[in-house]
Order: sequence, then structure tokens, then C-alpha cells
Amino acid sequence: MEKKSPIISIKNLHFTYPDGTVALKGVNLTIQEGESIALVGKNGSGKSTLIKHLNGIYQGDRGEITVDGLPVIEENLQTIRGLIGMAFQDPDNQLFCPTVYDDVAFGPINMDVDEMALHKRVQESLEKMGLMDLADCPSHNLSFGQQKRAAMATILSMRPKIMIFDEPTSNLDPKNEAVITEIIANLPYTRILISHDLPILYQVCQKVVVMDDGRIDAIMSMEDFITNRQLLRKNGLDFTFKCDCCNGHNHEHRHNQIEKKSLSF
Amino acid sequence: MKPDIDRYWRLESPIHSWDPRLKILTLIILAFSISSVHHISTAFGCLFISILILQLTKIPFSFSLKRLAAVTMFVGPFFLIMPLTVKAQSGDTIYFFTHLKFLEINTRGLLLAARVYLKAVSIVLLTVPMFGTNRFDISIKALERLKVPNSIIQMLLFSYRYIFVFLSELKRMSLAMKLRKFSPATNFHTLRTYGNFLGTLLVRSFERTEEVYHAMLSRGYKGILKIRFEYRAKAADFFKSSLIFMAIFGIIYFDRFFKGF
Repeated sequence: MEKKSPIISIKNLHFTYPDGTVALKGVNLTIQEGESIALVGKNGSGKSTLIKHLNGIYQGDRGEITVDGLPVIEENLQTIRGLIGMAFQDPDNQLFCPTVYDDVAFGPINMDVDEMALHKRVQESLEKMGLMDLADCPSHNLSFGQQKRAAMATILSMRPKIMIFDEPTSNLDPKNEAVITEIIANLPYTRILISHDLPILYQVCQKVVVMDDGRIDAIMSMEDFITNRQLLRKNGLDFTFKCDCCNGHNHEHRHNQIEKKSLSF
Repeated sequence: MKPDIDRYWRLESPIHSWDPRLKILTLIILAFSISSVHHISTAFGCLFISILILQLTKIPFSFSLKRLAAVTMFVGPFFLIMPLTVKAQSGDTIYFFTHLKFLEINTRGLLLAARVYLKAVSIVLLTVPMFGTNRFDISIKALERLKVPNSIIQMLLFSYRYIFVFLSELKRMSLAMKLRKFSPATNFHTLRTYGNFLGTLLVRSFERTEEVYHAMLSRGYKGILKIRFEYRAKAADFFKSSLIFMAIFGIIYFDRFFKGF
């Protein structure tokens, strides 16, 4: 059987910030096309630093990264940045154009998409995010939930192969959280989610990559991860939640065998 | 005061429908010609033209008046300084107090201050029709069509965008200070607190700028801001410009050949 090449491959990646803080200490990771990965770990464990290497925002001191077969080097950066859509934690940092429409069009314009296709892409992305009415609105006038959705529209319009979300549901009310989670869950892309919000990770991701102190601490399935209390606790992700479990009764304990479909958070 | 100069861009007026490129170019030339005026009577005429253009925009006059506060703050002191400092020439009227003879008030200085003030006010009033009758980005994009370098365009657009971020950051931090019972006084503690406040604001702004830059790079930014907008100048736009040019010639002619006061 032919072995599929990974869409992202990271080998022995090391990175130190200019102030001397060692952020990544030999990270090795491969991600296959179509996978949904939860990247978890304590604050300062190197998650955000790692994802900023994938599209060349940071350049590692050692090691190599390939995205869709292309090494992340200066010559390939424009192509790679078209392949990866990255939604940052604070949407306000992602929305810098005068209007929502301009923000959504910013990526495709830089990718030299022609006028007709550009308009179509922007319309589609705004429609998907339910922001058609706010297309001409200045980004700074949007509510936080709308800003989050607009930030997602900005990367959807680029039609990337890989989407990376850094804390997509942080500071959102339950309604907006549900909307964003549903949108992310239905995206037909390779997805990497950084979050401390276990319910969304559980809903979207099948695989968990745990980072600790600049290293990959563990790679496991989502089921194994959420039943591993010790690992959750170690990474500051311990949680207690009520769930409607297999028998429909509410309680606050962990089942050894969790039927994924029966869980609702 | 909210800094959004384009708050009334949705209104409909002859100035709003004017092609942004022609409008900015024409009004900039008008502003330069106002600055070249030598007589106070012409300066009054310029103020009248500025107010007339402003009225045509249908933008509430109170909106523009607020913008004059800054001008008054800078140019207002001229009314105090210039009558006292302008060197006396033959024909000048000078007033002085019997007991304070060193304090001479030269009326020519007063007129000079009034002329500077009138010119400044006329020009500042013009910025509202210039940039307040279209969305700010469209006005700035028009500047690009007028061959203003892309780096300046980017600086203007991002500065404008980040005024709002900066202000909200400022509000958040000052609220946090108030909630912890900070009340300014004339002491070292207040000075140190304001120092920390400004320092933190700068550091936060810097960090934020870095994040924005990363977001831009992630979306394929290569150092040049690509702008797509179609401008189409119609005959009516040229007609409006030609009316203003007639006013400009009128100002220059009146200022040169009719010696006012």
C-alpha cells in the first residue's frame, strides 16, 4: 500500500527567542492531510511559538519543517502562507483594514486572485460566517464575537489547505462559542487547534499533541487524552464537567469507556 | 471626542458625490491658496468659502466645531503673544498702560494673530469635506492614485485604524487605575503612576503591532499594501473642481489687487 506523505512534517525543531528564552527543544511532529489536531499544554509550553514556525513567521535555529512537501524556507514562504490559514488569539490583531470586506479580501489580494474570483471568495466567506450585513462596517465597531467570526472569514477567503486556530473560543459567550465550534467542526481542512477549552477540542479533534516545556510530551487519541486525568492535570487542563452520559443521567465522574456520540457538553 | 472623521460618509451631498481624487486635490490647492493670503479681509473671505463648502456637505457644524478646539489651543495664544511682541513700525497704533509702560499693545500684532487664526480655521474646516465625506480608506486610496507613496498610505491607514485600539487601551487602563482608587495629585506617586501608565501603553502597543504584523505576514503581505478600488470621475466632478478653482483665483486676485486691511 502506498504511504501518504504528511501535510506537515517537523523534524528536530529548536528555537530560542532573541532574549535567550529557549522556546522549542527538538520538536518532532507529523500531521497527515485531513487530520484534526488539538495542540495543548500549559501557558508558555511553546504551542504558539511552534505554529508560528509553520508559515515562517519564526525561523527555527535548527531542524526542518515541510508543509505540503515544501520546505519552509524564504523562497517558498508565499506559497506556504497561501496553504496555511492562521487565526490568532486576539481577533483585533487580525483585523487591521478599514472595513470587514477589506480585511477578508486582504489575503486573496496578496495572493493575486483576480477581481471576479476575489469578490466571490469574500462573499462566500462572509456568508459562511454570517457577516454579510457587516461587510462595509469598520472592524473596530464589531462585537468581540463578530470580530472572531470576521477573523475566521479572513482566512477562509484564502482557501487554505491547513487551518490553525489559536484559542478560537476564548472570551466568547456560550452562543458565539457554539457557533464558532460548529463552523470549525465542519471545515473540510486539516485543522490544528490550540485551546484550553476541552469541549471544543473534543468535538473537533481526533488526535492530541501535548506540549510541555518546548517539547512534545505526548501524542495520543482524544479518547485516551480525556480519560487520562493525570496528564490533563499535569498540563493544567484538568476539568470537571457534567455530561449526559450513556444512561442519560447527570453526574461528575469519569467513565472508563466513553461513548463519544453520547457526550454533550 | 471620537476620532472617526468619516462618521458622516453616508450622507448625500454634492461634496459626498464628488470624485475623491479630484475633491482632495482641489481642496488641497484651496488650502494652500488660503495659507498664502496676506490680508485679513481676504482671510475672512476664505473662512466664508470654507464654511460654505462645509454647509454643502450637510455634516452638522458642531462636528466641525469640535475639531477647531485643537486649532484654538495652538493658535489661540497668538492673540496674547503677538500684540505684545510684534515690532512697532511707522503707522502702527500702540496702546500702553500709564503705570506699566513697558507693556505695549500693538494692534497690528492683534490683526496678524487674527489673520493666522482665520487662515488656520479655514484650512482645518476644509479637512472635514476633504476626508469626512468618504470612507477614510477610500480617501486614502484616492491619495495613492494621486501618486502619494505606498509607505505613506500604509502609515496613514494603520495609524487611523490604531487610534481606536490605542484609545480603547487607554480607557481600559485608566478605568483599572480608577477602580484601584487612584486620584491624581501633585506628588511623586502620581508622576510615577503616569510614567508607568505611559510606559505600559507603549509596550502594549508595540506588542500589539508585532502581532498585527504577524497576522499580515500570515496572509501573504509582502511589504506593499495592494488596494483595489475603481474611481470614475464624471463631468460633474470636473465642474465642481472648476468652481473651486474659480474661488481660488478670486482669493488670489482679491488678495493681490484689492489692498484690504
